[in-house]
This record gives sequence, structure tokens and C-alpha cells, in this order.
Amino acid sequence: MNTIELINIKKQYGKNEAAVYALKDVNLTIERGEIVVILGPSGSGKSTLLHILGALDRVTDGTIKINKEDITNLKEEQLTKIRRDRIGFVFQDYGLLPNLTAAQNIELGAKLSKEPMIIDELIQAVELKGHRDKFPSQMSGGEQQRVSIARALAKKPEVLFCDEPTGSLDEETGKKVLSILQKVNKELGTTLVIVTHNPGIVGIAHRIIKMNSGKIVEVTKNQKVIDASKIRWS
Amino acid sequence: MLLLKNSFKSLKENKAKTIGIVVLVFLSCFLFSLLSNSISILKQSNDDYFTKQNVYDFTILPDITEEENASNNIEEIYDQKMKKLAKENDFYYELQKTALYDFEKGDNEYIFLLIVPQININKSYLVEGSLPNNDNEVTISDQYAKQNNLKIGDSFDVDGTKFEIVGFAYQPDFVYPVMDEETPEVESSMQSVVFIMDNAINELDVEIKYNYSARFNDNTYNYNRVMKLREDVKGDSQYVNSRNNKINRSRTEYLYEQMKTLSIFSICFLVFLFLIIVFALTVILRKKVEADKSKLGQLKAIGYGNFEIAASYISLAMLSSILGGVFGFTGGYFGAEWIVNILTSSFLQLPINSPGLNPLGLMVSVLVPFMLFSFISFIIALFIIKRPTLELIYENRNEKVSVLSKKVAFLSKNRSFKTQIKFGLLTKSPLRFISVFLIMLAICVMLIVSLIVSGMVQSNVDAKINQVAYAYEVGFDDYEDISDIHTDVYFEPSINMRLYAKEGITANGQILDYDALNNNEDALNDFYVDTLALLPNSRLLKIHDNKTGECVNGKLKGNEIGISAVISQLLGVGVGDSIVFYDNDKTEKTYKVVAVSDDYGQDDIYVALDTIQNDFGYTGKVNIIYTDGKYSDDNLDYVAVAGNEEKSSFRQQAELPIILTSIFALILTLISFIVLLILANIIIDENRKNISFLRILGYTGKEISYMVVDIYTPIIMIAYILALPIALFACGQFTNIMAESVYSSYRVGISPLLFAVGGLCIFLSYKIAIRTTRRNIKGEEWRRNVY
Repeated sequence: MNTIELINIKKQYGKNEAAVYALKDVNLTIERGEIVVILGPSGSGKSTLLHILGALDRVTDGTIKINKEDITNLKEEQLTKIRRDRIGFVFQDYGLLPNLTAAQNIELGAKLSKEPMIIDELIQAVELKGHRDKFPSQMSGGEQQRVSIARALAKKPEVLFCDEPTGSLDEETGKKVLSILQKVNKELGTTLVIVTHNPGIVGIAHRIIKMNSGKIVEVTKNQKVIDASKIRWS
Repeated sequence: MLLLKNSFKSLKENKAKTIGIVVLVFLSCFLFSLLSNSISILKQSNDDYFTKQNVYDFTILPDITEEENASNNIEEIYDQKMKKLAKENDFYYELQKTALYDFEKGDNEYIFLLIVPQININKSYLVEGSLPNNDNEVTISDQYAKQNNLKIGDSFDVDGTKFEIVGFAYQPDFVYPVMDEETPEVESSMQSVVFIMDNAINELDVEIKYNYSARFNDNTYNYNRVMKLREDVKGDSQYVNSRNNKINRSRTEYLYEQMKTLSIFSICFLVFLFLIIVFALTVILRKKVEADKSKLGQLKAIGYGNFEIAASYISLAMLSSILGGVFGFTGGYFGAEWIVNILTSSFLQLPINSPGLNPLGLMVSVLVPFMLFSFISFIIALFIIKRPTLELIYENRNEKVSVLSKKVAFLSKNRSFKTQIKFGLLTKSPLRFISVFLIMLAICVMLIVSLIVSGMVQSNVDAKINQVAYAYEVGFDDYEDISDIHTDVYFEPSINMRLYAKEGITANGQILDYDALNNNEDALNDFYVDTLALLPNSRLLKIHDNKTGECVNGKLKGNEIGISAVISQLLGVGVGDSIVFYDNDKTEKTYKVVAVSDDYGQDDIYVALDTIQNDFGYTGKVNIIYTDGKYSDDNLDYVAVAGNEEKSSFRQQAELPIILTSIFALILTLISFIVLLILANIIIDENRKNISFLRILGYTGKEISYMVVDIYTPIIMIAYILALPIALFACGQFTNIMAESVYSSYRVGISPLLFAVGGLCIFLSYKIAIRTTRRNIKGEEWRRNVY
């Protein structure tokens, strides 16, 4: 997945007088290997944008292209295949299955790929050695988020979409999680799209997209990408 | 109040569950109301009818001699005797003159019972028009009139004499209108009571029968009083018959059997259905309150009390009991009228006197479920709400893993990954698993019960019909020497007599308790049976084993007898047990049971003919024969009933029970599937978040079905298999109660094919229910579920 291209995207909820635009005339291209951070206040449309980029939601108007192929009107099964083969997700609430161990949760991601990453290596990479057979309820928030990242990476996705990945974490743990994400980008070339309201995170981004009222109001190229451990937590 | 209002609004969020519970309460109340109102309508109609028409306490049948008959002075002769008897025994009486007139038209046999209307006792019930006032007028049954398109003013022919129809009426001692002993099948299009003037009946060429209807002056019926009277008149060529009176109603026994069966149905199954609703309600509410925990914590934080919050959770109970109760009760009431009308329009001749919509019954139908369900809802909510406020607000986001789940995870380590996930989800909460399993078990039990019930009545009819291979059953008025029976047709001799089972005998190591059996108004001293004496190689009357279906006639030798299934149920006696019987002369004989037949309707024992002849002093004698052709004998008094007529009669009597059991089975099946749908909804709800996550991760619908959605599929099949013995046991208990209450019962069983079909139905229904519910989780909901 080299590029994701959004052309004149509109997303509308409700009809007629009750119509609310979550996204209005959004145009955006995400290149392979980029770390893009989408910033904006609550209700600005950043999560809706993430869902549309991640083939989770459909647009009201406009075109979505992946590697120049129009996926706007693909069937649900075809979108599922795109998510299965190319996309990974990390959520604020981790989304782990409570009755599966850390290793099993990661395996849940690995099972989707014909050539998955080795689970034990992933566990080591996200620094969870010793937590392999723990259930989510036996781990801290940071540990759970790292399991969630490992699960997303297990199938070697081309793009990783992270929705407020540090939203439930304290500063130290948040930085640790971001370091891992940065490492994934560097070592595996995985494209990262991170949605957050924490401006501190922008330090690791190659590009920063600011949103407000469903529109992209500013796109900035980050000239000085810094190490995750050195960012200023908001 | 605000919280309750809000709670009502939230019911809309899960329409499927809300509608499901409302429909369940509706069906329960409908079934209860249907059955209880049917009983009430039948009972009230019957009681009113017997009271208003002043039905006799007993009849006295004069044994008219040939000389008396020839004297043409019968009424005067017997009036003298009756006056004396009435004075001595404090009763009043009225002569009833009847005559049977039958004729054949094409292939049909028409039977008219001509009756001279009585004035004081057994007063005829006028449906329309009037009773005859002139010799050329008749009043007939309205069912016969309807089925033959006859109107008032039309002509009616009796033995070539034309009469004018002036009205339609019922005769109260013919509620179950068998006109003729030889024609047990009721066919209201070809049979009718015909009210006719005294002069007119005398003019016809028919054999007039005389009997006296009588009532005690003090309006107090007493069985012993009638029995004493019977003994008193024995030597006076008269016979006192107390059947068909207000208490001992042979012509309404059928009606009472239906009523008792209905009442057993209504009580047993209402309790069962309410238990299921309570169970489903518990699971739904617990889930809802758990989901609302944080919100509830906040309400507590701003000052709402536990009771106030818990009370807001009675909205579902309120809605279901008010809607379900009111509509269920009202629907059942009108359904009951429909059932009773079917009953009375087919062959019972009973004017229906509807008691009207019973406000008390309506209140009970609404209040009982309301109180019960509200209480349950309140307690469940309170149980969770009483936790500390902060614990509720900051609920632990990490769902704890049960010890069982941990153990299962460890044990299933070497299984496939998808199987590990499946087991993990299944054992997430043992309590939930048990609840879901129990509901599944209840659903399966209900479905199997409905399958058993749907075939119960037909199975009894089939068994009875299977017995009858004779063309005619010829019953003699007295015991006759076999050598006196002269006929060209093949016949098999038999003896039909009453024997009493001796109290205190032991069966299966237990002393028989006659107290349980002796609640019969006949004031029986002991439990009695009728004998069916059989030839070992009989080809006209074959008794079949209840279990194997084999003919058991050949097994009956010496003191080895067979008993009907209902006797086996009533006495708790089986093969290998011994029973002591005695006859009216107190001759005692001990018999060993070697077979139990498939007859659940008759209190019969089957015994070798020579045994019964020798044991009770009837050597060489018979009082009944079975023939393979038309029997005719001018020298002996007998009643011949055609085998085909008997078979038709069995079928006819089964019509109403078949309708009732079918309605019952249908409602039960419907309830099973509604509970199944609610359950599918609960299961999908439980796993909504997991399904959404897996969908987002890229798992296909098929994979998610295997790992999450279908986890309970094998469990429901296990529940179905386990439900079989439970359903059989429950039905067995139910038929035992029936046997004790109405002295007849039903075979409890289910064919392997029907069981397999039921299993397939429940499997497919569950699959459809779960797929339909899962499909509701669409893209928008995945996203909502993960946040």
C-alpha cells in the first residue's frame, strides 16, 4: 500500500435539516512510510477521517483510492479483505479479548496473515517478556496497549491506524508506547496514522494535519522529527 | 418518576428483548385465560343447565312384564307403585315416555329419539320457537336442524307421518346425545331428539319406553340414599338408575374429564412458563444493570437512593405484565368461547351461558405477573446498585477472567487457536454459562413436551382402534350359556364383569393408597376394574403390549393377567406384581400381572376366558361376544355395537382433546422460539464488542461465526439431548396426575424420527435467530462498540 488518497471527501450524518457534516471537502494523500498525526479538538472529525482511511466507514461523497485503485464503492467483504491484508488498528481502549492471554491476543492478529511475525519476537519487541500468558485483567494499561500494538503488527500491516493510542496512559507509559510505534515505522517501514488531541505527540510525526469542524485547516511538514522519549507531554 | 420514565424510553433501545418478554407474558396469560375460562364457561353452563332444567336425581325403570304390556294400562299400574314409593322415600317424580325411531336413507342411518316433553323434571331447553302444542307439531334439536337446513314451519317426517317443526330444543339428560346404545357415534346431522305430543307418540308404530324421573323433595342428593332405594325396589320389578343425574353424570362425564384435564394443563404449565419468563427476565435485567453501572454510580453520587434507582428497573415488568396480561387475558377469554363453541357445536348439546369477562381474573392475570416480575427486577437491580458509589462509577474496565476460563485456557493449549478462543469465550463467566444453558434446556424441554403432547391423543385413539378387529360387539342382558348362542357368524365369547382391587395389597413394595383414588363422588369403597376375558388365539380382539406393541392375548393363562396402562399408572403396578381382586359376592382371587397394554383410556384387566369363568362361577357362560359379521338372535336380549361405530366414536371423542393439545403444543412451540430469539439476542449482546473488534481486525463473518457466534451451537444440541429424559419425566408426572384425577391418561413417548426433526428445528431456528441478530451489528455499530 503505497499511497492512500482522499479526494473531495464528504461525510454526512442525518438528512435535510438534521444533516451534520462530519467531514467536508477533505483532500489528503498519505505516502508509504510516513508518520502522520491528525490533531484536532473533540468533534473536529479526526476519528471519522481515521475510520474512512481505515476502510471502516463509507463516505457520503468523494473518492478513496489506495494505490490509485478506487475503493469507494467496494463491497463489505472486499473492504474486510483490505483491512485483513493491509491495515492494523490500535485503539485507546486496547480492544483486547479479556479471556485470551497476551500471546493469544497477539495470535489473533497473526492468524490473519499467511506470513505473520513470530509472536515471541513481537512480545520481546514490545517489551512484554514475562507477560506472555497473562490475561488483560492481569496487566497494566501500558502493557495492554503494547499487546494491542503487537496484535496489530503481527500480520505485518502496511499501515497502522492508531486512535488516541496514549489517551488512557500516563506520560511515561505513553512515551514508551510511542517509542515502539516509532521503532515499527523505522524498522518495518509501516505507515502510521495517529489520531490524537495531545499536541505533544506531533514531535514524532513527519506530517501534522490539523482539523476543525470537519475540515483540514492546516497541513504542516515536521522539519524536526524527534525521538519519542524526548517529546513534551501535554 | 423521572428515572422510571427514562427507563421506559430505554426499552425502545432493545426492541427485540422488550417485545419478546411482552409476547411471552401475553402467551402465558393467554394460555391461562384460555384454559381457565373454558373451564369456567363449561362448568357454569353445565351447572346452570342442570339446575334450571331441574334434572332428576335418579330414574326408576319399570321392568314391564308381558301381561302388563298387553294390558295397555302400564301408566296407571306403575303410577300406583310410584306414588307409594315416593311417599315412603320422600321424592317426587314424573313419567318420561320415549321411543327410538330409526331408518336408513341411502348409506346413512338416521336415529330419532322421540320424547314427550316433561313439565317438572328434565325440562327441555328451548333454543328457538316453542315446544309442540298440537299432535301434528314437533320440536327438534337445533344442531340437526342447522345441518339439514330445516326451519321452523318446515315439515318433518316420522314413520310416514308428517309433522310441522315448531321449535328447536335440547333435552337435559342428553347433553352427550347418544340416542341408542348400539350407535355410540354421535352424528348430529343424522340424529336428533324429537319432542312430540303424548297422543302423537301413541299413534306411531314405535316401541314406547317408560321410566320415571325423580327428585328428592328436600333437594338433597345422596348416593347412599339412592343405593338404599335401589335395594328397596329390587323385588318389585323396578330398577333405580342414578346415572345422568346432577351429580353422577354419565352423559357429562366426558365434559368433566375435559374440564379436569384443562385445569391440570392450566396450572402445571402456567407455573412452568412463568419460571421461564422470570429466568429470561433475570438474565436480561442483570445484563442491563451491569451495562448501566457507571450511570447508576453517577445517579447515586448526585443523591438518588438505592431503592429509587432500583425501582426504575421495573419498567419492563410493568410493560410486559400490563400489555401481556390485559391482551393475553382478553384474548384467552374470547378464545375460550371459541373452544367451548366448537365443543358444543360438534356433539355436546349444552346451551352456553358465558359468565362474561371476569374482572377478578383479569386483575390476577395482570397483577400476578406484575408483582412477580417487578419484584424480581427490583431485587436484581438492587443487588448491583447497592455496591459502593465509586466502584460503580469507576467500574473496572478490565473484565475479570474466571478461574474456569483460566483452567480451560491451560487445558486447551494444544487445541487449534480458534478452538481455544471458542472455549475461552464459553467459559468467560460460569454463572452466565449456566444461566444460558438452563434457558436452553428449558426451551428444549418445552419443545419436546409440545412434540410429545401433539401426538398423545392420537396415539390413544390408534391404540384403541388397533384393538378392535371385530365387526360387532354383542352384549347380552344376562350371562348366557355358550350352547344357547346360535349364529352362523364366527364369534369369540367373553365376559365383561366388574372386579374390585383389594385395599392393602402390595405392588412394588408399597401398600396401595386408596384414599388417593377414592375422591370419586360415586363413593366407591374400592378401586374397580372391568374385565375383558380373552381367548389366547383371539383374532377379533387383540391387546397389545405397551412397550413392544406385540399381541399379549397368548400370554394370559391361569392366574396371569394383563392390565391397561391407566391401571398400571393409577395403582403403580407393573409386570411381576400381584393384585387381589374380588367380585360383588366377595370371592377373592389373586392375579399376577404379566403384561401392560397400550390402553390409557379404560380401567380394564385382561384375563383368559376360562380363568374368569372358573374363578367366579361362570363356567360355560358368557355375557358378551365378538363377531366377524352381523349377529341376530330372536331368543336372547342383546345390544350389538358395530366395531366401526366404536372406532368412529373413539375418533369423535378425540376431536376436542386433539384441538386443545394442538393449540397447547402450538403455543408452547411459539414460546420456545420466542425464548430462543431472546437468548440469541442475549448471546450476541454478550459478544457485541468481541464481534466488532474481530470485524475491524479483518476477520470474515464465517470466521467470527465459528469463533464467537456459534459457540453455543453444540451446547443447545447437548441441552436438547438432555431435555429428552426431563420432558419424558415431566409428561409422565403430568399423566400420572391425570390418571388419578380423571381415570384416563395418555401414552408418553416420542418417535426417534420426531425427536430428530425437533432437534433439526431447534438447531436451524437457533442458527437463524443468531444470524439475524448478528446481522444487526453493522459498520456503524462496530465503531460504537469499540469506544
